[in-house]
Amino acid sequence: MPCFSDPGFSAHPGAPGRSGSRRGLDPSRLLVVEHTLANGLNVRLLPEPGLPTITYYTFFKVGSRNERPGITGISHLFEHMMFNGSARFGPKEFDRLLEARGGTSNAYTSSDVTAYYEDFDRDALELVVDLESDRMRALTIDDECLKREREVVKEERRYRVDNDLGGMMDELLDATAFVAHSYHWPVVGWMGDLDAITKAQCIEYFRAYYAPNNAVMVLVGDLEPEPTLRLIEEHYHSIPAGPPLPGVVQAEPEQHGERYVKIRHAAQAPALALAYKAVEARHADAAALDLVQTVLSIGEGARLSRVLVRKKEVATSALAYFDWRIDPSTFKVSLELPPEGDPARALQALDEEVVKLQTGPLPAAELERAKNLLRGQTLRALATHNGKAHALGEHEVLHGSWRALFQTLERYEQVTADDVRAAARRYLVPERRSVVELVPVGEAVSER
Amino acid sequence: MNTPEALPFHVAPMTLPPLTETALPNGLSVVTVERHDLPLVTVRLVIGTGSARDPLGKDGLAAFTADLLRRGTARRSADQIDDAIESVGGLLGVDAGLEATGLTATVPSDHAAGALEVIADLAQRASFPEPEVELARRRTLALLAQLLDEPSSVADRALVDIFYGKDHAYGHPGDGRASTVETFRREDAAAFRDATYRPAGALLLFAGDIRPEEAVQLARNAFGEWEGEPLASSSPAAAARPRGLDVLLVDKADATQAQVRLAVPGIARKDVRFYAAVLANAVVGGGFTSRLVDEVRVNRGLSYSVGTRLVALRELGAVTLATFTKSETAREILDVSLGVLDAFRAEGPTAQELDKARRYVIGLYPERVESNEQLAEALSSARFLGLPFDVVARYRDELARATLPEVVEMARLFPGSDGAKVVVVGRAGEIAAQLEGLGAVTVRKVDDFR
Repeated sequence: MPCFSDPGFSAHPGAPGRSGSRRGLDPSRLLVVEHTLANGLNVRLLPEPGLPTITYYTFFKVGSRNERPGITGISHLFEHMMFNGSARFGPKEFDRLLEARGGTSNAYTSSDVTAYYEDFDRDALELVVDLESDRMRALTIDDECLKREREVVKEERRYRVDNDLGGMMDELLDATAFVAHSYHWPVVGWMGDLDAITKAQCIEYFRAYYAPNNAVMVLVGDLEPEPTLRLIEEHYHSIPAGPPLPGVVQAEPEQHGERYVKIRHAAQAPALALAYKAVEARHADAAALDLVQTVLSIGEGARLSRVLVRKKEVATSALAYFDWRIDPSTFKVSLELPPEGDPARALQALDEEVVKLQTGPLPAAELERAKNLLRGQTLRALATHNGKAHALGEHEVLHGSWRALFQTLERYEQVTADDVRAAARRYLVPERRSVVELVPVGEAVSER
Repeated sequence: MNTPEALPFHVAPMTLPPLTETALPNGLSVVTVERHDLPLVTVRLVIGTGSARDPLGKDGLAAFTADLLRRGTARRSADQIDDAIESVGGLLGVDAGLEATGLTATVPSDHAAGALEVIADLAQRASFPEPEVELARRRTLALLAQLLDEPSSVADRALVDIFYGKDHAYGHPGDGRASTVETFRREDAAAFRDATYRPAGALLLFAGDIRPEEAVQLARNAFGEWEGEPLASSSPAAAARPRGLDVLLVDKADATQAQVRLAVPGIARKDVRFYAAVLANAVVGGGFTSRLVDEVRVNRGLSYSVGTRLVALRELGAVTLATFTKSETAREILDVSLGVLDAFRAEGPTAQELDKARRYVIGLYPERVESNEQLAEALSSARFLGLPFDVVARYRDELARATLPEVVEMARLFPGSDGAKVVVVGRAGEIAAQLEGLGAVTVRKVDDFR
């Protein structure tokens, strides 16, 4: 399903009453203003009542899928370097000037996109347009900055992967599931590549991918479209379009058998991470897979929670994820086991639930629950300026248009129980899956 | 306390939705914050009990009891409870803190009554079915074991231990310890609920698409028979600032990165100097242009994350620093951080730094209370910290009023090389030698925090 940028929340989705009005939650009433500059920059503006603030997103269609061995992690490293100064603003000035106007900034890199955003008081719009356009036009890339950010990213890698069991498993899982496609390597990059990336490579990367024709800007909040568009034109029009973008080779062969790998590491308990080869966000089966995920794993009443965690006690937590991506993605399941847990039993229990979903009944009430949860989650993300901007931009990048946001909700409505079962039968099969088992070893293992 | 000066910039008034409060005869307070732009309602019940009331030898009981509320009541099975909320697309959340336990659900407006009934049922009639209690105990023990694999969680548990000490009401982790959770039985949870769940002092908040009259009526129907005398409120003691650095090194042999924590006593939330302290915190360790981020991350690339936090509780507080770095630079990150903190304590921020920090914190605030859930959380938090609800609306004005001398004074609140509790979680083989000369160092094992 889509990635929700909602850092302040724990999961409390709400859904409109089925019979009640959809007042305020109906995406078809989002009056988005579209404009494309001559240099290819796509702009989407949405004036919204609520806080007197604006959220400003810039999505670059570049992520780890665009990399190659030797420079893996460069997109994410680059994301870090975007804050270190540009032609008219010295190092650290970006954040200083923004924070001085009561704004915040952040960014993230995924396998598909690099997204930058600011949340700020409406009065700071001109400043932000200035800051953002300057770094798109003329980012400073120097040795000092590369040296420092390299070390910061290596610390991030150590934190998220090398010293995190889940992160370690997930990295090996992607590398096992994808043998040829660029989803094989981690977004943060291999440690060896992080050490090897050169300044020249960063400059080349910037020129290739950080061009206006590779970007979508989404602004939501207390803004007026006409003056905002004029401001954007004024600041961005002189940035030249970049070269045509290299495509990503779709070389991943069909998988014809289960892959099972182990990590032996100090750990308190075993764990399993699985990935089934699935489809891309635009695929006709994507909506059904979102429902498979919800039926299996969202809420305490979900099947994996009820059966694996509570009834059979083969896992302490059981979560399923289907990440929307540009290229064919994976349907993942993550099982944490108790210290004395048996991975074979846990896997067997999972397989039994999958078979039940594939061939057994899916009661109307359960399907309705799943649709309500999905709808609630999707719509709840639209309750803030930031959430709206992110949802619009994400659909623009993954589906080609922000309008696809409405279609997402319609598609969920139309999915039948048969569709859900069919999707489970088609994709959740052992021949399409990779499994990583964490085998606890060493002194962390408690006496039994 | 001080006359409002002419502000160098305009602080737009924060418009919050209208708030109505009604007290029921049993002492339960019903608050409605009306907002009709979305057909959603957040219902949040907060009861004045938490891990501070864990009985002796029963660390973790408050959290354990809270998690069990939804696993069955006199009227509903766990499945029925889940279904009542989730079938309409809502999720029920339970949070158990030091002094307050919350139950929250966000549902479509037409389902507000149903959600409230479920929450009322959980609060008053939880039945703690034996099989559920047994399962919860086994699962909690497993989760406590898994926590030991997370260096950051171990650091936080060790810090609670070293900062408050075992005899303090706050001196144990909220989720408990293996040795205490092992003893939990049905009777423990039921007794804790009977002893500490009271309407007096509890707060029921509705935020969103509902009218106060309806909310109050629903509350009367659902909670009218809830009884109980108010609980005595505790006054946990505040510690003195340590003299010298008191260092706890927790050996995690497989770690390639060290988690680092510093802590000193701080101030309570109601302290008039709170807002000055918030600003001091923003200058030294909040936000991306703080002194610590500048020196530790931007200038030296020592960490991905470094920051200070003001923990301002009802009767006392703490000021903490958290960061991490590869094992080889554990001492360096401590030295650099303490250097920054010492300089800050000595002179406080410059006027320019204060101005920038003020704008930043004021600018950030509205987004922290943008949604119904956030608003409900902010208001209930205010109540349980002993503050009036209008602290939310007045937050930015108070920040605008704090003067430079007040913020300079609060700079001295922060940890420094003169005295602090220090925790480092990492490979002792590589780190112990580095820490020589830093202060009194004790080495323990990860397993000690099970």
